Amino acid sequence: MIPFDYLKPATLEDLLEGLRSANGEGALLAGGTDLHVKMRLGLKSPRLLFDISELAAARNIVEAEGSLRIGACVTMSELMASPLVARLAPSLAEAARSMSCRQIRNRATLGGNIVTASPAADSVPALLAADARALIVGPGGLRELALAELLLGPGRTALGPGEVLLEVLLPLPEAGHRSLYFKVGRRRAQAISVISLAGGLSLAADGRIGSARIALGAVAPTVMRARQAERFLEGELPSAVNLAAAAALAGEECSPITDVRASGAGRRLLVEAWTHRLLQQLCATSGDDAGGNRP
Amino acid sequence: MAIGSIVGKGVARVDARGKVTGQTKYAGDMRLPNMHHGKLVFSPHPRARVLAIDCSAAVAMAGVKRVITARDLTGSGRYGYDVAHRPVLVAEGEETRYIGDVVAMVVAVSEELASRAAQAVVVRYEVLPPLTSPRQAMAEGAYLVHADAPGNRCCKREFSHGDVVAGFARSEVVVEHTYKTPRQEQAFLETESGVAYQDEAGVVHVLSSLQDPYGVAEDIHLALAIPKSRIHIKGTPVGGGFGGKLNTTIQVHLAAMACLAGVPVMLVLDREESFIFHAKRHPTEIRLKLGAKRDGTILAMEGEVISDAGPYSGRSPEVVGLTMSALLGPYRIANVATRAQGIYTNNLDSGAFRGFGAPQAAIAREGLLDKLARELGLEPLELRRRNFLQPDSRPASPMLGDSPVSLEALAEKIIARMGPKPEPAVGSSKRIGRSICFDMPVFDVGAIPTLGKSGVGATVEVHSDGGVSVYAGGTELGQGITTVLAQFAADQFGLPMEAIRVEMSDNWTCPRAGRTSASRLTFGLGNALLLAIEAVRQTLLTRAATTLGIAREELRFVAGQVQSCSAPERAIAFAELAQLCWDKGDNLREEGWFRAAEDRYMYGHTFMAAGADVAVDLATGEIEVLKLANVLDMGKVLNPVMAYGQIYGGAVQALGYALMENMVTKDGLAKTPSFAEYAIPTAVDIPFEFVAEGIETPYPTGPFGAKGIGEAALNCTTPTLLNAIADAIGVELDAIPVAQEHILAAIHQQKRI
Ligand SMILES: Cc1cc2nc3c(=O)[nH]c(=O)nc-3n(C[C@H](O)[C@H](O)[C@H](O)COP(=O)(O)OP(=O)(O)OC[C@H]3O[C@@H](n4cnc5c(N)ncnc54)[C@H](O)[C@@H]3O)c2cc1C
Repeated sequence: MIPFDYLKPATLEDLLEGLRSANGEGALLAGGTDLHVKMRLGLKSPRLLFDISELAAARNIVEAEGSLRIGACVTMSELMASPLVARLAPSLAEAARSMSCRQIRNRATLGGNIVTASPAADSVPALLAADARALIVGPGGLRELALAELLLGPGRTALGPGEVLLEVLLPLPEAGHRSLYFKVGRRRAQAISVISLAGGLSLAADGRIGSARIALGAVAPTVMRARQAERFLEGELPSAVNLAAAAALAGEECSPITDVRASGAGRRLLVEAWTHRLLQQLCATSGDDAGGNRP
Repeated sequence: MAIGSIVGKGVARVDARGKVTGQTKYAGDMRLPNMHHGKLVFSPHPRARVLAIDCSAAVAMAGVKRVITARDLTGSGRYGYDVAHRPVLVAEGEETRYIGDVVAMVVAVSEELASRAAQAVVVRYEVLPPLTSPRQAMAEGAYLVHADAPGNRCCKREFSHGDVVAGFARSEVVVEHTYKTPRQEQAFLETESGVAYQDEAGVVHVLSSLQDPYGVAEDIHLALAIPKSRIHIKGTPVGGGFGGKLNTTIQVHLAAMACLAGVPVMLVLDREESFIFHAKRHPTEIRLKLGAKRDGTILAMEGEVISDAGPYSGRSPEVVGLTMSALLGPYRIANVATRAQGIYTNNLDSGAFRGFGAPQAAIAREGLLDKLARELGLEPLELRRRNFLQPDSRPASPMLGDSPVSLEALAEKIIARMGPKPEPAVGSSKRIGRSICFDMPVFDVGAIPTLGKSGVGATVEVHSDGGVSVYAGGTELGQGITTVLAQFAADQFGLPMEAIRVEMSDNWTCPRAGRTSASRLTFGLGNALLLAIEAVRQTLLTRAATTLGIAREELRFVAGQVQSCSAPERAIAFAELAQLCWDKGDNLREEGWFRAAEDRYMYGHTFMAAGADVAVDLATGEIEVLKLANVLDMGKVLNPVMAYGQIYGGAVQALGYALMENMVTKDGLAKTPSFAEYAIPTAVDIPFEFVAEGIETPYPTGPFGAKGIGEAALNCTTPTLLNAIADAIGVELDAIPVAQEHILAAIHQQKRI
């Protein structure tokens, strides 16, 4: 590991100023649970680390202006403990809970999980299924971007030099909206996702599916939405046949690879099986279980 | 031998306090004056010719003490158990055989500097295509990993009994299948580590985490031409071994660095280095065939094992041999023809791992028994019971033994412990499967056919204050041998546990005790220690008899005294007696030497039964182990807390083997290079109901009737889980690990047929 300097700017202004003068040689350190690993493996060797883990501007969870706004430096443990998140984005709380172990969850931040841009990042399916947006601050001031547009590929984001992810904005769910999150790992804890998925669904008064949102993790270069399955469901009755057909579509539209955790073909089977389970549970009239299921 | 108050009790481990409070010093915690740090330069290519090694940049770095290549070594430069063909360092002009081969070593003032200097060593390679599967390596014209091993055959074992052709001809039902098992990593917490220095008398001292100080001394002698009288190996507390530290690991490298650099050197492998370096459980392909009569009587078995031996021989001949032997299991099979081969490849190395080849065999055998049961329309358990070895029958196996057969008692016990099979909830997509399997894990009792006899020594010394020291050259790997030996001494001398100190794993202070493997220490070392203790007891008794004026036969050791059996008030305190012996010049330090009798048996057997209930969700493939039970015939449970700890631990490793563990290589490279990729079970993967039990059929020659149990629980636990899953989904499974995707694939496959 190459030696580096460490700074902890007190304010957002100090941080932006610091990043400017570092001239691209600085890196943001939030929880460090991804960054340290990469530095140790020699994949990243920043000269200067800016610790943002306690940056006040990125540490809040609030409901404002029709959104649930979550600071990028909020940790997974904090997401799990937040009553606001439990009420407004239960599948995100479940995603946080599914991650790793307590020690990591106490450090790992939402922003770090997003910016790492791993296809297997566990919070991202829950965020994508909620149509989340990213609030970004940088040399050019503030800008807002759909999360789906921030994530470009494995390890690649649309963040420019000196830009910081400040907050994640989740539009408030409509009344009667339900969401769920599932993760399949090789073991019950401390597992990188073989696949993960999140879904949200609202049923119209006539019993038909109003909107359906399905996001799939670890089966494409970025976390993806299963658009074909979603379109298929919208306006349809949540019949057994329809749910099965939509699940099959999700299995077809993803593009998983084979790695040490699973085969590509196996991942497709898992996507179909778990999308089916997800839709069944979202449509179930009784047993209002918003909590996910941890395989 | 009367059993006193301590043997059989779950007394606390003698090393518990130090480990729990963090006071125990592992090799990596040691600090010596002027201690330097070593770093190994590994070959990045599984097979490549080393063209040139340029150390100049590394040597020029301030703080670098020495950079070492093969050229600097004296002696053969080669080591290895079985065949000493592993180069300490691959020389210029030679070929590497796997990515754990070392081409250079660096000694520097700090760990960080050693690391940077290692990166500055420039090696030019001619990269060559590696052999990455036994099939490829066996093919006509394949290049030879070792020039003297035609067909890349590392070893071959064959066994035949009766007339297998006639056996199959008479069979009414024949089943055959091929099973595949992956490479399993020991996943010990403490990586290979140690410190070494050479003293002014030329003695090389190596303090290191290991399983066999005597084997390490042998290797250092072979490779570096250091006289045996000048090699001192001290085993440090081991943070897990499971067979992975049975071969010499880094100790030859350490000794070479210390001698050539002339300073004390510490070497601690990081996790990635550790994973590529040590030998793991052999990946195997096992074709097995069984023939039986309609009533279930098995008439014939034919088996063919092909194991990936990796680049070096090491333990492969023994392990692969045991895979073959263990194919028979605890069943009567009159006609047998089995064969096993270990094949060299450029993959990661294979060697010893708890179970030592037998777990692979159990997967094939118990899997095929279930298939046979289905063909016969018999309950799997009933089929097994009809073929159990009988108390008077000897196994038709190369693993002859003299342990009383207790399979029926184990069957009764496991049935009782499993209870009624649970039912899934109505309307649930879950199905519940059950399996019960059996095995006869072996332990070394001193006379293994391929190894010859192994004598085991132990020393005991009673000090003048009545305290006791035990010197026993086996190694404490966490299995609890230190505590067991202390229990023996405390019991025999009638002393509290605190009075006993046990010194282990040191080729200088302890009599030769051999390797710590094959679940052999409680039996071998325990027996040796009892012999030593008995000799000292006789001296003490003689002195006490004279002093008290009581016949020796009338005396006993109890409660810190030697006292009269009939009149306990007539006694002498143990400490007082020890002082008296000291004053009178009696020898209170004796060595016991235990060897198996010449013409007896070869193995002891720890008969076992395993049972599992597993729920599988047919819709998602989700697997949930509801219950996992292991029952072992331990002969005598010497310390229930530790004994059951061994069973639980072994069962968890078996569960990992069944459900998630696979050390994947591609083109000879590690695809699961760290714990981020290589998954082992965590606490929440432990079965909901987890049972470990023992029955006790005294083993006549075991200390207090005890057997070796360290490895046993791994044996047939994996197939029990596998068969239970297969039972739940109604589809045969023939490869591990089994994950959700495999369940879904198996169900889909079947739908299509
Ligand atoms: C043992 C272990 C287990 C893990 N298990 C899981 C798991 O189960 N699921 C999972 O999804 N992940 C897992 N991870 C990965 C990791 O913990 C998560 O991705 C985590 O959320 C990263 O957050 P962090 O705060 O630690 O990021 P850091 O490591 O601090 O940063 C990661 C990257 O994002 C950049 N960054 C951080 N914050 C910002 C910001 N606000 N704006 C711009 N850039 C930023 C950093 O510069 C860096 O490049 C695991 C990691 C470890 C070590």
